[in-house]
Amino acid sequence: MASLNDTVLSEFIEDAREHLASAESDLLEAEGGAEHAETASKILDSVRYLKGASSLFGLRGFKRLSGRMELVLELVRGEALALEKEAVDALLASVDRLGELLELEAAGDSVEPGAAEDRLEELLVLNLPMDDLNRAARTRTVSHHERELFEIAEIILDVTESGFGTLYLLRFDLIADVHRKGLTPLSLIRKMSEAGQIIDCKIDIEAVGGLADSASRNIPLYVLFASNLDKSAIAATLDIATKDLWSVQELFGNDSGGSARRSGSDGRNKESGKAILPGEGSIDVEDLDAMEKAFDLAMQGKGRGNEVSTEDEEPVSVESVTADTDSEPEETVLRDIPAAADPVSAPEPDRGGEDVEMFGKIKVDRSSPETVITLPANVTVEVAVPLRDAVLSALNRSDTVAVDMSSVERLDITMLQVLVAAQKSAGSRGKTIQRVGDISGTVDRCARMAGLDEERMRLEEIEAGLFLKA
Amino acid sequence: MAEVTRQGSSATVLIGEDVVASMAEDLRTELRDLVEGGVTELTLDLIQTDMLDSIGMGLLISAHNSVRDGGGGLRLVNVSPDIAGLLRSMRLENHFIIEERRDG
Repeated sequence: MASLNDTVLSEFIEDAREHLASAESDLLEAEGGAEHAETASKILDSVRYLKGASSLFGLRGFKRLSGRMELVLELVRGEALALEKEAVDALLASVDRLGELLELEAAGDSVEPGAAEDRLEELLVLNLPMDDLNRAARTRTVSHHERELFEIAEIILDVTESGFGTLYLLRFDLIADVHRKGLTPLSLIRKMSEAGQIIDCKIDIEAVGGLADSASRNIPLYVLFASNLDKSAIAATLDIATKDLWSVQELFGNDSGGSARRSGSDGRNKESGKAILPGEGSIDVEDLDAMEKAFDLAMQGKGRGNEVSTEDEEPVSVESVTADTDSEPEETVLRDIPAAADPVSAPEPDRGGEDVEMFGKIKVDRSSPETVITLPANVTVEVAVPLRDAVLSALNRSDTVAVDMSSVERLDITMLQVLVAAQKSAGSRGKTIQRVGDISGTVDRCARMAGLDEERMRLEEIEAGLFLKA
Repeated sequence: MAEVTRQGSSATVLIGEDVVASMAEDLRTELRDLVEGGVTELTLDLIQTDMLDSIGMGLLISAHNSVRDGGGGLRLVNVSPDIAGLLRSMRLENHFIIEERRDG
């Protein structure tokens, strides 16, 4: 930018050299390694920074070449391109050339990226099918309310969805959604990083105004975000209203196309085995109490439809147990779970045999002296009702219930709360819920991230072995 | 509080604290006075800043918008790695210069 002085430019050059040296070192280390996507993601951060900053200084050749590197690295990250020798060499040549362009363009010369750019193009031509090449050349614009927010190559759209799940557009207001909730922008970014992949971000800086205006009442932040979570889970995890999140395919009005492209992605799903947690999530004491109370009432067998009561209390409705009238309607899905814990009104389970009952994908086996509940791979909010019913059914018929979590690959915090509440409620009645079989690292990690370490378990008077590895 | 070094249309402001809601209004007034006084090249030194909240981020963007409208630019120097990473992840390096704090 012409108005910025030479000192600023020379400082950027110094900064850029460090980023390029770091990218070079990462590339050299990456060749032959296994963590290609991780390496690409790290270098992408640097390349995007350099591309953005170079545009401020009018370094056009530098910006163009870094833009091509960005595409190649996106393809590597999305596993559409392997980071093998050919790709590493082409990227290293680009890093070298960026260093040259930096000096030349900063000195005022107009320079083309040249052979380095050709090499990247050649890499794509030799390694991508023709259809992918065409899609690398075509871009789609993600807009909202006629405001063009992000431009993304079609192939990046595809590889992102294959590698990381559905691509969403999220809209936050840094004042209402972050500041007023006691969060900082950094904690929001960390939270998002734990729940998925941030592909791109954009703050609507024009909405903020200048110094002469009064302090801004809203700072819109748009995020292109890829995740395996569905909308309601993202809303719960990121504490965002579902009206502020859209699947990108939905915005394109192309749901069938999106589904078709996603259909072959299961085998490359990198998120499997990952705990789904709010970024700074921890067991919510009020929710836990409500769930425990609901379990207590349900185990007393006092359920009457959606109302439950005790002899000493006035009838308590579902809503009053978990009252949260200010919540968005979609959030109540999570909060209604404990209060609905009522075995009397629970749907009749499928019979899987004389001693086996199936509650959705959850198996309750009474063939041995202790009842065994076997949880499926995904224990997320979608199985909340069957899980509740399975636990209640088992506890109503046995004093000792064993839970087999050896197959669990995904577990969210709500489900963890359901299990803890059940365990506490059972304990207070002299019943026991214990673990059988091995426990996956996912469950242990999820519990610890939710604040359920050994000390907390001791305070809660629950058996740590259910969730934590010894 | 902030220390200002001014040279013609350039000014460097050393912000001696975190850029958060509790101090934002005072800093806003100080920066506004500088811009209204003809400063177009504004450098904010964040050497003593380790936290930036949403209000603080809004203030930085407002400062950028104001100097840009006057034909100038905003530069942040000595930015902590966390804050630099945050600003970059939100692609604000497309709008103003962000120079990370050097070790030592």
